[in-house]
Amino acid sequence: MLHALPFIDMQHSKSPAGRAVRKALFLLLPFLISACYPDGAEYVDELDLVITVENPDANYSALSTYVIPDTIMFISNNENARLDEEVEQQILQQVNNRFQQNGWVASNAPASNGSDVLIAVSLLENVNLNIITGGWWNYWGGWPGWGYYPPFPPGGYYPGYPGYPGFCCYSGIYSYTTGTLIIEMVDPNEIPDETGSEPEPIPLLWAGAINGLLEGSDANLSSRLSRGLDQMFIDSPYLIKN
Amino acid sequence: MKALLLFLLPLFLLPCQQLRAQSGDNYLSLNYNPAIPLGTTADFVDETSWRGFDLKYAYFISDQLALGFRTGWNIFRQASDGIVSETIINPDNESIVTISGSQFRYINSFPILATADYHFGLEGSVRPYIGLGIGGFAIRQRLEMGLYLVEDNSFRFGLSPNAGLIIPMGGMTSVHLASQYNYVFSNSDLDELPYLSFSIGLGWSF
Repeated sequence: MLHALPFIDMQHSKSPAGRAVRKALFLLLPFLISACYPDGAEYVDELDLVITVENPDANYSALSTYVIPDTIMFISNNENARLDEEVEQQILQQVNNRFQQNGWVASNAPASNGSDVLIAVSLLENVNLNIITGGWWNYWGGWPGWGYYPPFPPGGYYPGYPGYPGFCCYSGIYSYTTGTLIIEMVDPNEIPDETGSEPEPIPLLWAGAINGLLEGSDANLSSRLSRGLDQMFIDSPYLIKN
Repeated sequence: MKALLLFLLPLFLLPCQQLRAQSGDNYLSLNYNPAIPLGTTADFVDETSWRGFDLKYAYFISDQLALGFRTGWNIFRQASDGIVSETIINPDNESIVTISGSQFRYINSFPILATADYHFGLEGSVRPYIGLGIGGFAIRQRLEMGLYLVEDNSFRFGLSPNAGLIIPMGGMTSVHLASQYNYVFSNSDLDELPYLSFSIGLGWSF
């Protein structure tokens, strides 16, 4: 075995070859370590987040009927983006089904009979553009979309617009789209009359949001939406009536 | 695995004179360093770290006492088992916010310590030692949830009492085994971080 490695000088106590081997190992060590660094999320659905907000002053047990408008408020930082009508109705249908499965009753004549709550659904889309720079300054990326509760009637909130990249030296561009589905529950009897120039915010009875990457097939997105709605009710047991 | 062993093989063959550790000698060791979280460390990440290494250098100022430094890197990581929920109270309006998702938690620890070790036994034989490391730990603590992360970076004072064994293999090379109790002190924002680590590697006397 020793003879198979003639480059190791066996005669001298501090051989250059021995030092070279040690030096090589230490230089390679960072690369070995970086290859061993543990990964984070591996699948898109591991990046999904569900948020619910409970109003401690709300008397949920007294609420049972609801009405949902037949449109979703869609906001995107891409001016050309539009929400497909079929997708919009699928989302509304899923939300509708969830509330009914948990014991809520859709008001059959809201215009005349009213309802205990009004449920508004919004979808925020944020396209994040990232420039990979080779220069000494870091690339600039947009920030993920975040839920915001617009005043009613819808006023809208526009997520930040990506800035310009550095002057030179970019080596690539990649983008990803994040989205947030927001469900807000308000008392329609608490909607104030708009007498001023600015609409007044309406007290929120409850809110739920699903935030994640808007990537993948429609079937995948639908499945993730379904799981997100389930999680909303798991986190809000006070909304379950049956 | 075979490739790694073949790569490491030359290190066992380094020449040439009998391992000695006496006044004026240098000792360098490179070790695989798994670690076990304890106490408040385990409250954040409760899984053994199998990813870590350390590098130790010592200069013998006498036949028994060696002064030097130790550095390295330990990575603790824990992925949540499915969805976890965190509940916080909004101080502005006292609303109750519940956030649910998959969580990934990490602690990266980089010790940079001055060390003093007292060695027992005779030169050329198996030499146990005990010692103490004093210095700082660069800590990066991360919690990833959804598309968001909370990260705390700090450099804090820490102590590391340790005990080890140097087993000569012939020539300059030895097997180095050791255990360290690492204690990173708390600061105004972060809790203390105790963990136990083990060194398994090779050493060279020159």
